[in-house]
Amino acid sequence: MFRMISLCMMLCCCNGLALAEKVENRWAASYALEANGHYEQAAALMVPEMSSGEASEFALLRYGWLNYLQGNYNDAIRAYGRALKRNQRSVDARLGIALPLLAQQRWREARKYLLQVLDQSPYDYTAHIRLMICEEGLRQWKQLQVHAQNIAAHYPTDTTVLIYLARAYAWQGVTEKAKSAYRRVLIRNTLNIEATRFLAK
Amino acid sequence: MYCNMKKSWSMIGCMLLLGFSTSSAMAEDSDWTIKADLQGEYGSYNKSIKRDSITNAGIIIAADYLDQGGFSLAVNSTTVKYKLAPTINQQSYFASVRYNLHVDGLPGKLMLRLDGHYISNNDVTGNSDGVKIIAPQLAFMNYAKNFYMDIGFAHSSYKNNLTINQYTPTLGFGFNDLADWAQLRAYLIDTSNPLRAQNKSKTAGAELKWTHWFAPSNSLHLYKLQAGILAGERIFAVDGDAAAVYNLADVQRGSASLGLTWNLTDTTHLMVLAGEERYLDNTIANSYSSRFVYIDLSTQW
Repeated sequence: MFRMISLCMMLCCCNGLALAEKVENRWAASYALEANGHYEQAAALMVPEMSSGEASEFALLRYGWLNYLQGNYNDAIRAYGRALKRNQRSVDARLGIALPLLAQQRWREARKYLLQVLDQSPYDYTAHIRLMICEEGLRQWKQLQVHAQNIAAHYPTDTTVLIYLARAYAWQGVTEKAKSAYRRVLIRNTLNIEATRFLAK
Repeated sequence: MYCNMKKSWSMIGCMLLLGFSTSSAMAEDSDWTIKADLQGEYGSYNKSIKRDSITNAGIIIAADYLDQGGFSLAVNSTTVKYKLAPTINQQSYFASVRYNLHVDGLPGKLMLRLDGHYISNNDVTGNSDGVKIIAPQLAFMNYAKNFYMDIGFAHSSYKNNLTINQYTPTLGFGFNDLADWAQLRAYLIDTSNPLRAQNKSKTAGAELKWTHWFAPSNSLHLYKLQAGILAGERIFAVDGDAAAVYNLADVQRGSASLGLTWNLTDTTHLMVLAGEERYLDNTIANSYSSRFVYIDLSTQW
């Protein structure tokens, strides 16, 4: 009897180890496939993990990301939406869902999620940059200008924010201020093509 | 009779302006974008044996939920004065729903739209009264926003044995960093009863519109300029952009218009548009024109 129990325990242990190894291999394989640009296969490995279990939320986020990379924006939106339902506090899901929404130029929907991130974390850099993309898409130049000025003060070394500031000025026809912002871009990134071209006009 | 809800989809109600003046910041936080327009028009007929003038006033409210779609509602009141016959008073009602589809694999979005019109008036003949129109449209706009196409259809039911089918294939192009937009729309109209349609069993016309948006910093606070011309003929036309129905029984034989829109605030615009439309009353061989001025005040929150 004792042998039987020991044998069963050993088998369970071995099966458990094998399963754990299999799961770890699945994640490792998915990362390797992603690194080589095989996003579809990398996403397919996430499917068994998405329904339940402690890694399901992360698997959904990863599935959303991998579908975004493939251009399957609607699948990506659905996956990020499911992740958000699992965890209403998730900043990652909100930042993630904004990506396919931006790709589909659904500026107002993306902005809704990004503003939710900023409610939780007012100086989240990624959310601010993606919100600026929305403002640019909606051609809200004055709003973009004020937004970029504000964020540039909080991130004074950043180049991207200054580019949005320069674009906002340029679209409003405030050329000197646009040039000034582009000059600040070139100090930080001396090879920036957009700034070089604008200043060469 | 002439349902004259024309020219633009953008007008506001003064009462809405007074009642709902909101900051742009509030507008940013709402999932709904609501736009209200108040419109008014005066037109004078030139060389018309029958007609004298037309006045028109209306309000349109459009609501859109994020980027997913929305609906519009409009009411319009029109008065047409005749030289010999009694004045006709007309009420027009318009409702529209739209839904945007983002299909992976397409380089843009599809837009489904369904419009309905109902027009009632005191036309003693009944020919232009009780008009019912249903108008579906399928449109595509690319993500770069420099190419647009749609196919529209409108089925109009008139009293006294007349139905109209209208097909409106449309192409639009953006250029000059999207500061300019050109749109070409064909109007292919079949009538079921030529005796009720100026002896026309079908008409064909083409409309070209050009819109230029000004840089925000211009000193005159100009928002946009728009010009349009119509060539060819159309009868009982339904204009999907303007939500207008030409339930006047005469043949429209061309038009030209020019309009300017000013920014009053970040969210409020005023448009003034003037133009001329040419008509033919085939039954009495009377060619005449209508010169009009149209004003549109719009706000958004």
